[in-house]
Amino acid sequence: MPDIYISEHKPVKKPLLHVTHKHKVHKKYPYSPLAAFMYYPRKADFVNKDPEEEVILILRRHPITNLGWIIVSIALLFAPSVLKFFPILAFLPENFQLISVIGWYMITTAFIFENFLSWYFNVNIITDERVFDVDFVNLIYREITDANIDQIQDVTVRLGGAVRAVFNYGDIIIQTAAEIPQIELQAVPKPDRVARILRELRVEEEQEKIEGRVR
Amino acid sequence: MLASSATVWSVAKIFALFGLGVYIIFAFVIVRQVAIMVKTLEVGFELPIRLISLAHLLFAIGIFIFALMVL
Repeated sequence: MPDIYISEHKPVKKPLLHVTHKHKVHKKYPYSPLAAFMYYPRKADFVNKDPEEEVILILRRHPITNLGWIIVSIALLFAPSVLKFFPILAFLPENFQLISVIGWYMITTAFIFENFLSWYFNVNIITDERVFDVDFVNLIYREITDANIDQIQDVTVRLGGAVRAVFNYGDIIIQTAAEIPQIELQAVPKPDRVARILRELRVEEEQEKIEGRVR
Repeated sequence: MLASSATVWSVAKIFALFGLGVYIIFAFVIVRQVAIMVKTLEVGFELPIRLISLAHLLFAIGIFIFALMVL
């Protein structure tokens, strides 16, 4: 029988999840605790984590989003040198001038540290079971939102603007059937890859339901 | 005249020390909050962050003591 149609061989995309090859993943992907995109982080623990839960992705805002406060910090650090040209503290005795400059640098240090803490600890965590959004609104207010993977109804990737296009970061809006209807991952790197990982996790959850597996 | 000038700087010293004292409280709040943050999330960089917060608090206390002596 002659062949009527021969389809073109299309390469199959490899799934991004490497749940059965975690030790190989560690060798393949470099790991830094200061990274904004941590895929299968070597060390990851957080409050409310189940013992059997596996952390797949830890996301922070893209480092470029810190540029604003970094520029301000540099300006604050160099501000006292302006006093040589504009001696606005000349009316103060020398000891008060010294304490004023030291106090200025202390406040600058606190500003830099607070902004770093805000970037470092405001994370989004994707495990094999849930999606977490950890928000430290300020130093004394914390909000943690989580939703099960199988409750995700819709994932929208929003990437717009020249800077976001150049540095490949964007927002991911996750619609859920949970009490919190929406979880937003703001300014995360590689949003398309994150959406793909979420898609694969949802498929795996559906597969687990069909097969009757708990985990 | 000299007495009033000394009084003005004495008052200024009290205000400066009060401000530095409030800053010490702020630095202590940062230390406590870093402890809470570290408990919330651990990815391997917690020790340097804790050390920085403690160093910041100690520095604030040191500046207060220095201001007490110098001003």
